[in-house]
Amino acid sequence: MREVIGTNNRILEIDLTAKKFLESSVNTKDRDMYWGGKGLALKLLYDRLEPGVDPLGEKNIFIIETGVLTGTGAPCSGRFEVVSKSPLTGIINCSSCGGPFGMAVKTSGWDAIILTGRAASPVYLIIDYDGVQFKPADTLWGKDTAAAEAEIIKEGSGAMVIGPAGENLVRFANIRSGHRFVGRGGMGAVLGAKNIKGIVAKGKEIKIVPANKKLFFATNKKFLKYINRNFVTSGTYRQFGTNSATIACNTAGTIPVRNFTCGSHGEVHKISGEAMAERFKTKWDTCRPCAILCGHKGTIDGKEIHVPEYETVHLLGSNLEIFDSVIISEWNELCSQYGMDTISVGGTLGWAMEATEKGLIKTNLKFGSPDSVAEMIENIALGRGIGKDLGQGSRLAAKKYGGEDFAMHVKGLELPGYEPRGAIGHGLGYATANRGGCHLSSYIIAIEVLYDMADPYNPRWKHYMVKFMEDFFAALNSMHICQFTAYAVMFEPPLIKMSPFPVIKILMQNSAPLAMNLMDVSLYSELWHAVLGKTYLPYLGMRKFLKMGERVHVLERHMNTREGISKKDDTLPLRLLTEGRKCDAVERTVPLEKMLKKYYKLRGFDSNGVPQRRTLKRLGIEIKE
Amino acid sequence: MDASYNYEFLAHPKIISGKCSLENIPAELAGYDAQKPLVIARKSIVQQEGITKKFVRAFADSMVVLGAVYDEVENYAGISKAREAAFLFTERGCDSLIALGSGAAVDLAKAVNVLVSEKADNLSAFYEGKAIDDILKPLLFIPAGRTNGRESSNTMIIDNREIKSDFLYPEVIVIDPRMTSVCRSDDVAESAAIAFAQSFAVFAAKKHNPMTAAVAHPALSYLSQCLEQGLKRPKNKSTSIALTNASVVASIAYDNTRPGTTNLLAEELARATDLSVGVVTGMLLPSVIELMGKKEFPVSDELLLAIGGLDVYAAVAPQDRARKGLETALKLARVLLSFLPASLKELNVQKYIFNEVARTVAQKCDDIFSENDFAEILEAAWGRRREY
Ligand code: SF4
Repeated sequence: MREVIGTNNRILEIDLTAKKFLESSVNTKDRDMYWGGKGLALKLLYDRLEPGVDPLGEKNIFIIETGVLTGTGAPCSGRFEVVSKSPLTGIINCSSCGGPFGMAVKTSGWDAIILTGRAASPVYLIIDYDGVQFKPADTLWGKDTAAAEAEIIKEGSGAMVIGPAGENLVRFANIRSGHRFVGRGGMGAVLGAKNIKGIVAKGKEIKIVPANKKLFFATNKKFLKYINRNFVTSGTYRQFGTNSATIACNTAGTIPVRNFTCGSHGEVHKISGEAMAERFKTKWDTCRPCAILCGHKGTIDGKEIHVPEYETVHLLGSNLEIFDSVIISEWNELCSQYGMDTISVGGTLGWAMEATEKGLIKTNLKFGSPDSVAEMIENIALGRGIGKDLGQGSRLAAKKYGGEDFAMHVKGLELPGYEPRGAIGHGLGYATANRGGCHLSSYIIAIEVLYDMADPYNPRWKHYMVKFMEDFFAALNSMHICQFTAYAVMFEPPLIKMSPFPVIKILMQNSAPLAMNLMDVSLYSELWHAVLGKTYLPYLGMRKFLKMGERVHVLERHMNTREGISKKDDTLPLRLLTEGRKCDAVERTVPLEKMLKKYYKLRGFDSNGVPQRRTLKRLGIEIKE
Repeated sequence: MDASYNYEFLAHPKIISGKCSLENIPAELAGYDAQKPLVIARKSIVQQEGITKKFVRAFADSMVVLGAVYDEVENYAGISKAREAAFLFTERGCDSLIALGSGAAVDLAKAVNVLVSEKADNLSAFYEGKAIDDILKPLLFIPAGRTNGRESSNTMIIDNREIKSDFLYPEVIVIDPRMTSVCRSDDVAESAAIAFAQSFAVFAAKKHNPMTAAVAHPALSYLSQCLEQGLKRPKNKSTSIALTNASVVASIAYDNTRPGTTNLLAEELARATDLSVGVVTGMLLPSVIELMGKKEFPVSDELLLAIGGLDVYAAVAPQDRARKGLETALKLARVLLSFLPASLKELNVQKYIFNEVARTVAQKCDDIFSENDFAEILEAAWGRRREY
């Protein structure tokens, strides 16, 4: 097997229209500025994509980028990033996946794949060290994701496929790789529009060797130590998966109930991670390599199922007032087979139930009743009846039928399973997240609720926390490494570990910049430098890492403003801004305006939310007129 | 028979305009045997200093008791809020409605009126075509702030669905300078753009209707006389009342004509982009007028009379009046544009949506414009440079 020191630095550019490909590479300047994964993928897209193109048209570009860490064996690094323009939001969408495809691409000798144009008829692609082969996919077209993947995986070690929803251009169609998904933003529809059923990479052709082995293995060891002593990464997530957050979120009033009209429910314990672990006799089923092991599978009546994640549980469960873990798991499987994002499906069904109740549409959907839901999921995937309109997402459905005030999305992307009237900083994070209603852009709920470090109702310093975490996560996704490692890396280094919790809490509330900077996340920087053999200066590690994250975040924002995004879009559904929750002792809304103003200032955006020229210049982002 | 006698025209609302108009409200309500109105107001209007006080003061020494003030209205009018307000109406035993503040507040007031008068829980039957077939509760409308051009009409848009009925007209429109002068320049520009497009549609309609022209005429006159001043000094009472009058009468005229090109195109584009209809209307107007001139589409020569005034009209030869009318309209549209973003490009509107927008409008519009014309208008508005 060939050995590659550092990273491949080979990009496979495939022109689907002409059925041609070429090899290109990344220059040192871009590598140093954007590192890999999300950052580099965005830069490649920025250099190639004209603003204003149709996301489902031939001119849209689809980029798959692995990270510098992919293939090195670093914990939780078997990931890849997909970047394209989203048909659901009409803006740039980045989505990360822990399926085996990333590792297969990297070990086929490629760091990234760029798809342009559109194939004349359905095809699937086989990637190996020498390039790409185009194979007809007529017999695969129409097959569900599991069946299609089972077919093409025979020709490699990692694949990604779309299901019928992607073929039917459902705007929240996802992409499957193993048991993991490129979930959000309708990336499956972009592939469907390009007539690509799937891509399989041969893999195992090369071996990635870190350039500075000594530093790499020493850092890795420290990293594993942190992961194995953090109570989330080695405890709750490992035992119960992401759904372990359910009880804490219910207590804090931050789960979505009945299309985000309430934040807690008495029956929620029935669908908690703990209840599911017991009900399904769960075992690990994770991305590879992974040291946290948050993914689980289990059995229902002897049939193997994939235990739904927190988001799925709450969007298909509490949000529809369904508290039956078996039913939720079945709907999860159904969405997976058709290839649809469970968050958007749940968010759109929530809207449809309320719209039905209010006489805006006619369906048999009803809060609290599982009847007709499975049928509607099928109708959405196959574009039948009103399912066709629901397949456009809650934003477009509400534009057509009304109910915009209770369509729970931001910039067209349906909100995940956290109700921000119980954690207002998280609300700011939804409003400013580049791809729309996304919890992974800043995940302030961890600070506000899970770690209970900041008052969830107090807007003080929330702008700072959101910016810090956005930069941090953008940097993590450019490594590319699982975001869940952040719990360990943020909270386990000596300084923060030794500081008494009440002190941290007081600091976080009164001087968040100080508290946040106690969290020494330079370990990531150390790993990246070790793999590439670049000189690592410890005192610059964290600053360089966060500045890179800031650059990536602002570049994405800049690209979005070229697509028409501005302050008008950095908002929340009217329900969250204007309606108090009847179930709360004190009715609250999210005081977004106040926080947003400070956030723009801190970010170096103008009052309309557009990055100022001097901000772009400071970050070294080239301005294209 | 002269063709100009073949027309239909319905002008329902009574308009009371001028200083101290608000003080007429109790008497107007009494005329409908009403004395306990539910006030539905835009939050942004009520939050402005002194507005509520001025409004409430108008009822001093009268028999009228305000049933409640429902001020939860934002930019969107939907059934959820309509139900809330209808509940309040019934709970408080109200017998009439006052909509304060334009746009969604009026749509919502109309929806509440249907819900309480027809004793309905939602509007689904009306979306499906059920007619409103009886007189509703008296509705008074007090314009304040940015208008959407529908307030004085027989139309409401609730949850993005349009319901039309002659019973939806407000009974009385009370235009008081204390209320009209709460606008900012951008509110003025957007309201004026809609009024301009509506009255322009009357003069560009395939079939001439002398009554709509007669009503649209003062709208354009007010605009040509007061627009520039109104944009520069939005709080000036006399210009603000003139421009509000323009909006109200333009809307009544437009109700009696076929939907206009600019209005349809702007509504569709705003829907696709989430931009405000007023902004988009103002940005499209010059391109529509230019295209009409270029393609020599017919336009009534009364357009020149309305905008230019009698002296200009009389000084132009009859065969040149239509062309000259378009030129003056373009000049006025450019005044408006100087207070709006210059181009759709400046707003980063995504070009790929143009074809879809043009197709949808072409299906709705029985005008002389083709789908290609619509696409051309959008392209022109996209690439326009600021030159005025
Ligand atoms: S922690 Fe979970 S999501 Fe992250 S890499 Fe491991 S299994 Fe995948």
